Amino acid sequence: MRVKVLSRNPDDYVRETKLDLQRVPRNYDPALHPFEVAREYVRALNATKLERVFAKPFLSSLDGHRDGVNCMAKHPKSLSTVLSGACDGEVKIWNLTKRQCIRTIQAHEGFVRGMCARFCGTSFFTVGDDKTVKQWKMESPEYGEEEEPIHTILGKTVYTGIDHHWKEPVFATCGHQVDIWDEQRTSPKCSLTWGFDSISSVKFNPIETYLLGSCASDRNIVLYDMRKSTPLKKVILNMRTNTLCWNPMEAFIFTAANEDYNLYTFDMRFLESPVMVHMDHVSAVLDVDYSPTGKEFVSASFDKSIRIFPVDKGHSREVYHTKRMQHVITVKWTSDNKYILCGSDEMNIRLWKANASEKLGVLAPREKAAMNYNQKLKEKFQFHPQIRRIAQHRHLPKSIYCQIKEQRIMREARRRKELNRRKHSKPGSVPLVPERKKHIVAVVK
Amino acid sequence: MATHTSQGRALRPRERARRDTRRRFAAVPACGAMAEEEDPAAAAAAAGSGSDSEEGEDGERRHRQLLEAISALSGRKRRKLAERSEASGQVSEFNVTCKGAGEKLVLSELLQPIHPKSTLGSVRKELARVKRRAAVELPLSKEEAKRVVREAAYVTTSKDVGRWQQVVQQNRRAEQLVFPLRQDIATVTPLERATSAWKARTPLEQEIFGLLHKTQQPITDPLLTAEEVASVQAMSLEEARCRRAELQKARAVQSYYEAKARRAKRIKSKKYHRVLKKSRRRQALKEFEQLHKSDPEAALARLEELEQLRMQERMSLKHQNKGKWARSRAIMAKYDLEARKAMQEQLARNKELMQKVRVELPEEREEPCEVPQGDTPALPTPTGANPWMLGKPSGPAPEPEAQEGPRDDTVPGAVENKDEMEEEEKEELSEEEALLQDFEQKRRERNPQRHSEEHGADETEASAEQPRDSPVPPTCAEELGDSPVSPACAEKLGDNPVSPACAEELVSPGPELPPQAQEQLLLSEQLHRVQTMEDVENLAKEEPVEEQEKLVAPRAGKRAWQQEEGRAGDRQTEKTAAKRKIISLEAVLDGNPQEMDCPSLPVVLEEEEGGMEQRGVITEAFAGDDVVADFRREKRKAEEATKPQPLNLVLPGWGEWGGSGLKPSARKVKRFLIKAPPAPPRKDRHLPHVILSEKRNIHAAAHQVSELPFPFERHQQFEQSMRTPVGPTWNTQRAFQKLTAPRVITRSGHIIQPISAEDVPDTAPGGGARLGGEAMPRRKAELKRKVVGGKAEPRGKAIGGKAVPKGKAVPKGKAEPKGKAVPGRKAVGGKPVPGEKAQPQHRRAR
Repeated sequence: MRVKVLSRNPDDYVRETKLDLQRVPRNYDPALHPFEVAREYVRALNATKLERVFAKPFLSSLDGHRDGVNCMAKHPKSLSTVLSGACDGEVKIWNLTKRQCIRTIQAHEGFVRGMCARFCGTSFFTVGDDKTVKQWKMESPEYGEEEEPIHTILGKTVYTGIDHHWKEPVFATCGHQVDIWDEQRTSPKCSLTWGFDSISSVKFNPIETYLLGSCASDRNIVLYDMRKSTPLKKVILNMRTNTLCWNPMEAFIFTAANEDYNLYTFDMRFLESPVMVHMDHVSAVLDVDYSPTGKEFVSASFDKSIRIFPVDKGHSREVYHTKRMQHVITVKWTSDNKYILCGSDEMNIRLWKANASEKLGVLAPREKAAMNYNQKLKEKFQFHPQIRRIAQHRHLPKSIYCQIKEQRIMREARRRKELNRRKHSKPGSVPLVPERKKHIVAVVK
Repeated sequence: MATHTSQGRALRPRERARRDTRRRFAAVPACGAMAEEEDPAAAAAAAGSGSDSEEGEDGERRHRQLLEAISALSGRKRRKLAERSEASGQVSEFNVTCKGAGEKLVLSELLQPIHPKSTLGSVRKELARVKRRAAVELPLSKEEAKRVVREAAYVTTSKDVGRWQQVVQQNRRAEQLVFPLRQDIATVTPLERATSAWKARTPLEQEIFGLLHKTQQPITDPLLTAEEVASVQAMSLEEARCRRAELQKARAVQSYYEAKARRAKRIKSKKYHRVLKKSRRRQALKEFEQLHKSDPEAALARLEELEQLRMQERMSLKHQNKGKWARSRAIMAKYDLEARKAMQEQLARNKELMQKVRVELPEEREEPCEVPQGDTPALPTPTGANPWMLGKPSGPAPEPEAQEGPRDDTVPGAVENKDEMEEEEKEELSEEEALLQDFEQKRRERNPQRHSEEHGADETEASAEQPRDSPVPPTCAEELGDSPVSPACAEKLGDNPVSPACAEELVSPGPELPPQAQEQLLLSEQLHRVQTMEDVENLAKEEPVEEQEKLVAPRAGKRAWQQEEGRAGDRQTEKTAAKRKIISLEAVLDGNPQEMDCPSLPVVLEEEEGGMEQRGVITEAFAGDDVVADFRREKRKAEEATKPQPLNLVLPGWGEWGGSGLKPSARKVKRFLIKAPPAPPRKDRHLPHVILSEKRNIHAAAHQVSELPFPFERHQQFEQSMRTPVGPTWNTQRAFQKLTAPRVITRSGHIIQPISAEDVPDTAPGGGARLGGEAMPRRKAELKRKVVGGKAEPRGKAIGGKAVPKGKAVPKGKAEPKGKAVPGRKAVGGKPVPGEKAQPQHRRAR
């Protein structure tokens, strides 16, 4: 009789060295792995829960200013360096890896209104309430040298903002008008005006570098062309725009932070209505900065919180706040797309993770694969009620929560009223105005 | 005279300078540049005339000085007199120049007519033009002009910016974006540049720097001192020559050996070869003995070599009487003594080779010759954990020469053969050796494991068997078949007809909300903080009702009504309202159950006055259709289907004979058939003309998607997207990686610069220039269409779909909302199934 003995070739299951991964023979026959949707759903649910559990976005607070932080600037060449200007005229340069202030300059009398770094990262400019524009070296003075600006330009009026050209030695200031300066000269190359108003901020387009955008206190946003030294177009909104920021990946898109609690993303070619209205803040939005990937932006508000919006969504995906953080005046997204910095009234600069539950540090390949898988699962099952519920849950301080509720009621009432009015009046006499058009007063050519 | 002239010449530059200055004074307000241009001309004139009127010039100069002094006194600019200082080629002695004096007259010039053009012609033309024009256009106002400029500038600028349209679209749609877009290679600044830029400033730095410089350490690229460079450069000629000669010699010797080997190989005599082999073997033994005496260490090494040989033998089939020769001998063995002998010899040899040589401990090294005999044959030993390893390996059998190889080098009689043999076999040997070593190594590595596993060998085998033998128990498999996830079921769900009322509700959640308001909030913000895993769990468990209450009013109202009915009896006030409804329904239904018997009763009631002939027509038309009976049958079937099935645990063959065609005994069936507990009473038990499906699982519903999410246009799409798993359990490694590739990749520590024209070389903004303006609106239109389609879809479906199953509507129950008959879903198990169902929750039957 022939006896068949179970025998296997060890080459099939024994690994060659100890360091090899154990070979796991796998049969992908779907009949052997049933309930795939249900199992993946459970995994997605767990991933979502874990994401919420690990969402600890706050990293550190940089304290040292003796007055509210009024403006910040990123170093164009170094990720670990950030500059900040305070309301008492003090400028500080921080090292983010050490979380230390590495240099302090008494730059101005009164506020430091604006600051920007030169594109090469060797120097930076500040403007202050003392009507001066100062250029400083980025490096700290050598042994035995005095802390002095490289250049100081004394102007006639107060400058409220400054931005540097992305490629050329040219910078722009704003105040009573938008001035474009050559770095070598003490008088502006050209001054751009359109009516008389105080302009609060001016920004160069990072892609088409000759373009400028500014927002003025008479509720308008003006675009300029530096080549022709002429303004291009003006949009008047319902309320004042505080700042604007250009999308670093899409040349014609910019986002404006408005006093009416909203942010408006415009396409500069079609200014008649914004591409998207971003609502969620419950107080004036004071600052906005794009992520370097151009997919999201972060906004700082007077309501003591910062929010992260996807560019193509009307509502925020994330809100950050702490008990001690007061009105946030300035916010920046670091150029490696990892962190967010915000400077607030109570003299602190806070460092946040841009992705709240992200694990910092080097990830092992398996960790990375697991992370990607979890991300994909969350994305896949995002429409399921339980998962959405967990993913969307955020804690808010009472003041903001109440205000949100209040505003929801107000909005609902307004909507109802309009509806009633439409119902009881001649058809067509109360037109249906889309939300995007509501906030635009006019476009001036 | 000579002095005079020299003085005059010397003065001339000065005078010129003065003249220049004067002229500049006059001309600066108008055109400074012109004056400067004139200077050289003036100088030339001075030079030209200077030679003739030197003595007169002195006086002239004085006169001019005087004039200047006077003009300076008055302080007012005088009108300058005409001055003759132009350059001219011919200067007559009378100080009169005549143009063209030196030139010759040409006849053709004389023949030309005198200017025929009258100067008045142009004037007349001008006059006519002025007359024709009524008035000159007013120039644009400053504001207007600026506006025109702005508009023009805006158009050109937006066109410029529009060149990015294509790139932007591409990036928005991209499956994956890797930032920074341009991967620049990190450049390391050379040491010399880094050091040259740096200067020692503080005293400490200076001190250190001084010390370093004293030793004159090189800092430039080849970090060699002078001596080192010299030594590297020097390589003696002699040495080179020696080496070359050596190489030449080696090559020559090699070729001799090769020739010799070829010759020896051609010898066909078997006897010669046999003798050769034997002598080799003997020699080897002898040598080994000698070696053992003289150098035990080397002997040990040899022994190991023998061991190697043995292993080779074990792996080969050479001496196992399996070869062609052996088989032929076996046939011959019966008759031929010599053949038998040869076979036995070979077998003995095989045995000998197969015997394990024990590697002795150092103190036992004295009798290595006895070792092979003393050892038991390795084949039957059960010590090896893996019986498989004791069999013949599956690896390729080595060449017959293989076993001879190592022994060859010891043959003294065939010293000349030695090299050639080596030469020939080296290649094969090297291959085989590599193979062998590979095997050996594997085995060695396996050894530690084997030792550890030895005891549990059986268990491991058993466990290894398990996954193969028992994938899924049959009962379980059956369950799987019924599982709610099955695609058939999903299809069924997708095809479910929607009653029109529900569909309408689905489509219009509220009286037209503005688009922004309709958009879902991305965050649900709360006052309490979720801190632990338990909290998150709780978050999930919270009643979905609460969330849905926030939805639009009409829906909420309906839900509320349903809830009230569900827990009727809680509150008095609500109860009355709800109960009244129930009571009324029951009263109606219980009152006339026998109505079922006469199916056309309602029709009769309606058409009493309609006319008998019509009724006759209808009955004639539907003569074959017994609608009511059909319905009753269907309901019975539904009831049967929902009845709990008894659980059959009968296994054939246990406790009795098994085999094909045998049935388990009745006793056994009775024993192992487990009756299911009776199902709760059906809700439609008192509703004779309604089928209420109770297949909808409320617990599962909380996890299901109730509305079709935005980017999807049909239920099928969404279900499809849910059905394809992405995990590594269902996908191969590669597919898994592809499926879970992130949308945006950023590298930590890398600065992401704004996009620039260099980042997009192929789709340069120049290429997309014509797309610019119109591309955007088109996209918008697309988007709009998409949205409209997405919204319209459910409505269209609702209209198209069957409102009531199979058209067998209820004759009476139309009035009540409860009576909406809902198509049953097939096989929805008790398990909560996520996804798959993007159906409105309203559709469920209460």
